[in-house]
Amino acid sequence: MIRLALAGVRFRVVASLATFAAVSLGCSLLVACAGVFESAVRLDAPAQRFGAAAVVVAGSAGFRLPDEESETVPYTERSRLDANVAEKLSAFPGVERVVPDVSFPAAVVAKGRLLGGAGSGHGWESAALTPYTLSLGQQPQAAGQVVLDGALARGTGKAPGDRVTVMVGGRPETFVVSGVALPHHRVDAPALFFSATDVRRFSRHSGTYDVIGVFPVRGVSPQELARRLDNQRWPHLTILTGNDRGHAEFTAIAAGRLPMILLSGIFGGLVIVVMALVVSATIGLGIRGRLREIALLRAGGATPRQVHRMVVAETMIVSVLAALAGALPGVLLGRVIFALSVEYGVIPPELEFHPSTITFAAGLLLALLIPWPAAAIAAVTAARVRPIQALADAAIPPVTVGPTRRLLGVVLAGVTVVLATTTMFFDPETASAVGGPAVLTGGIAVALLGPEVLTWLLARTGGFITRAGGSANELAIINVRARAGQFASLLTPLTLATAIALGNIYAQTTHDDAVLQGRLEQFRADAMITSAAGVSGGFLEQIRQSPGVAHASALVSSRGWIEQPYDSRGSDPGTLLGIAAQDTASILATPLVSGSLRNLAGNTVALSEAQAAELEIELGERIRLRLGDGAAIDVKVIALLGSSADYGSVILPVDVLAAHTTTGLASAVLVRAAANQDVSTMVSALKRTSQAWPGATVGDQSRLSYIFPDAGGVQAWIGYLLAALAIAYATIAAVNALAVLVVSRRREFALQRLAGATPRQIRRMLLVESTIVAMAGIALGALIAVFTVFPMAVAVGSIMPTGPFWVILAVIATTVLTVAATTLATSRLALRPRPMNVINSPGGG
Amino acid sequence: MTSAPAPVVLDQVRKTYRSGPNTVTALADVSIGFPAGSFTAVMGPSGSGKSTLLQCAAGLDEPTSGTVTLLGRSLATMNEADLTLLRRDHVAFIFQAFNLMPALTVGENVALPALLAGRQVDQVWVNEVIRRVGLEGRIAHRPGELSGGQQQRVAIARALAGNASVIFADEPTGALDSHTAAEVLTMIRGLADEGQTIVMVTHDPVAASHADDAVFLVDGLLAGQITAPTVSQVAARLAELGSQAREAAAARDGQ
Repeated sequence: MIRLALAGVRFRVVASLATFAAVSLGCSLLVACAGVFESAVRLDAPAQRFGAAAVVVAGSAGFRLPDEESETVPYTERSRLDANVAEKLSAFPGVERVVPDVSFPAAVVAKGRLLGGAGSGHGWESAALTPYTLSLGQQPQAAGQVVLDGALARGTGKAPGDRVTVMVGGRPETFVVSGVALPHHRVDAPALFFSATDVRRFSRHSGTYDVIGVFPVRGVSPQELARRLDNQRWPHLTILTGNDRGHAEFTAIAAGRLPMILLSGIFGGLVIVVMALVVSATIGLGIRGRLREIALLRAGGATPRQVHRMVVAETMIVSVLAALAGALPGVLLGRVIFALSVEYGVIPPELEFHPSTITFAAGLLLALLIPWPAAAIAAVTAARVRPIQALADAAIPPVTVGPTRRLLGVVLAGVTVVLATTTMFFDPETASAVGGPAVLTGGIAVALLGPEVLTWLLARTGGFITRAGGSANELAIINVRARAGQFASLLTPLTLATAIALGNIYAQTTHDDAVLQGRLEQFRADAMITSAAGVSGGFLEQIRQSPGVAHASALVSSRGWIEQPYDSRGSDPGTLLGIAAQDTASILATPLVSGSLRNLAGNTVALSEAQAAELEIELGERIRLRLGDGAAIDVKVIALLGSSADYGSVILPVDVLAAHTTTGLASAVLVRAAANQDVSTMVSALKRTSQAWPGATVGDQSRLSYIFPDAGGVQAWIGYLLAALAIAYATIAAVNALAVLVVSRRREFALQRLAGATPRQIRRMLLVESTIVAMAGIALGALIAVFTVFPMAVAVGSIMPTGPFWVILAVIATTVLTVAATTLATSRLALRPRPMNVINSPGGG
Repeated sequence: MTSAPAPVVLDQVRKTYRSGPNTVTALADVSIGFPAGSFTAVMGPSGSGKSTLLQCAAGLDEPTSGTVTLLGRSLATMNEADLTLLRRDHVAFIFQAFNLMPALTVGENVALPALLAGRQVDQVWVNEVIRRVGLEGRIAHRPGELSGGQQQRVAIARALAGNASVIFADEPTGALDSHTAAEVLTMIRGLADEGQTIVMVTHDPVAASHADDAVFLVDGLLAGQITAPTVSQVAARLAELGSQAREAAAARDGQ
């Protein structure tokens, strides 16, 4: 059978190429996906600034969820260490010395901008953690002195003795460069070193360290020391060695894990389904193109089992070669996805893309495991071919679907409806996770019912198409109807591409718009200023003095949980906002339901009434919050607000929340214009004011999306990228299927030409045929997308889906143009040989 | 010929098809046996049921009623796989066109039944039968590189190689010129002389003249038989049957 299969593969190059392309591309995507997944699971982030410290001790790694045994969700802010930990560590056997690190936001200003983005300042002692050594000048000894790293010194052109402006504590301050220090290995983040006096002045978290670097004595391995330290079970400590030390250095890394795992999982699922459908469609197409040959084989003594095995073997031979060919490009693709994700801020740049043999093996295995059952199912058609068909003249099989297949298709269509219906009743976050599979179940349903759906659609639109295009279209309609089985192989990828494109993108935009809208509704602001360097009191004061400004309020944002009673937010902690009591009236748009915000000071909190009701929290009750840095504080509920349970934030006094953030500073200012004030004039004035504060950006309220990471932005972007890849894959599959379809009909075209049809007429007929199928695919894909997008709209509380209209136009245009171009190109190929040669060639039928 | 039981026996075989609201009778209770080592031409005008007869006899199609016995086994009791195995080991087909697997070489096509049966291919024997049909030197060619007559000779070689007891031929010369057709028919005649039973459907009197017997079918019914047929005998009978059929049809339409 293998011999027969090999001969078949060699002989049917076009059909085999289609399978090859589908599997190798699928394998590439799966390997890329597995690579991203593996990198997310490993989270390899080689230490940069902590490179010299063999063991790094940091604060608590994350919140151990009260309702889950083992799940720990990383904190979004830096979890700090008590100063006394350093003493305990230095007294520990096997420890040579400890080097504590204190960091605070600090950035050098050059030409009105922050050089190298938001950097951090440290005490000069911390230089030993890397280590940095002075190449010029000397260490900072007194207040007002700073050591710049090599990149900053080059960027500013400053040398020891020069003056330099540094944004520190949210304020521009002038320092004297005392020296320039170079790291012994690569460090990406800009670093500034200050004297102990200045560190005390700028650090907003006195009595704590960010991390402590531990240097073991000679002869004690870092792992051994880490193990011994772990055994002490000191509370709220994380002991890190090797590549894990990067987690302490780059706090965003751990938080990036879950989105990456989710995204690669969802993407992997998409690719698997598309691949399975595409491969089985390609095989089905191949079988329908050679029914006569299979019938001959059966007449020649092949049992149905043997025919089945031969088709599966042919597919698997091609699949193995294709998977092998696709694996290496997959790693490159994974690297590109990773790099793009870094560029768009989904993944911290320090994280390494580390595909291992596991990635290869997993991608390859999946790429082979999927075609197998796909081929096995598609080959059933081949096995059912009866030898008598070798004698029949008309080789066009009847357009029916087996009862099992029909049942399965109907069940999956039902599942799609059920998924859609249930999605409506979920909260927005769950909805976005549950809504996606509806695209896939719908796509599979169309794949299974394809031939019948196509004939059904034609029966209803055939007359219209004929009227629109004249009798020339009639032959095209007859062809599509008669060959609905084959055209279904084209319909499936087109439907999938449209469904994924419209479903995923509009579900995402609908979700993001609603979430952003829900967040924005809490505030009343005419302008918003964000600052990469943090907002200092002085800046806030200047904003208040700016012409036309009635109110300006600093906003601190973070994420955390209500721990008692637990809000069950799990890996998706709620938004915490810090606002000064006197500002609440002017910038909060949500109505006060009960209590008062006047006393928002100390350990007090205001909640959404809906959320309070869900958790059975009463006004005046004390609840426990778990803040972004891992600190647990007990706070008294002093007010309940009319905000929604989904989007309402937990509101804390600004100073209380700021103390539990990494920077310790407000990151945004909400501004309200005075009555009768022209907003644009005010904004221009604010822009002038902000020029003195590098890192500040003035915008409208929509800049709030920078504070609420779940409201679009980064995750949406990676969603689009993956959707685009899945769409591209499905489109390539469609091109493939179309090429096989056209080329396999050479004999038919030859007969038509002998009957007097010009190549031009045949091309036109083909164009009409494939346009009909493309339109059907777009319509079905849009229908499936409706089942994901509308439930999402209901779940997020907006009735109609929102999103840019151009997406739907682009999808239609891309689909139609791709199909048209492929049809024209392949028909040229199919019409090239002389008709008589085609008819007399035994393989031409 | 001999007293051995006939390898192909049709008993009261009826085959009807549904065609829209009408029922078309392709075979109307036909009973016929094809003796071992005989070469029979099944003839008749278009639509007389001759191809249906061949398909039912070979187990490629199921009769609506009646029984077919092939090599002593009743086909009605056999499932698709058993039928396939029976055909693979004892039956060969020679069709009008596209008889061969386009992906396989001449040698592989000849050895196909053995390949499918999982038997060791006797390459010497394969070469021998290919030589006997005059295709030595073409063994590694694909069917696409052969002329129609050569392709038909490959099919004959396959029937020879498998040592099939029964060979069903459906218009084996339909696509060939008269000279090539004569060559092919001579080879088929040779198969019969070696003891293989041949059932050949044809409408060509010249082809029928190579057979031991010519059997005529009209409207699904047997309509006589000519032993040791000549071309003119067959042509005359066909013309007669054709005009009878036309008159019958005219009478039906006139009602």
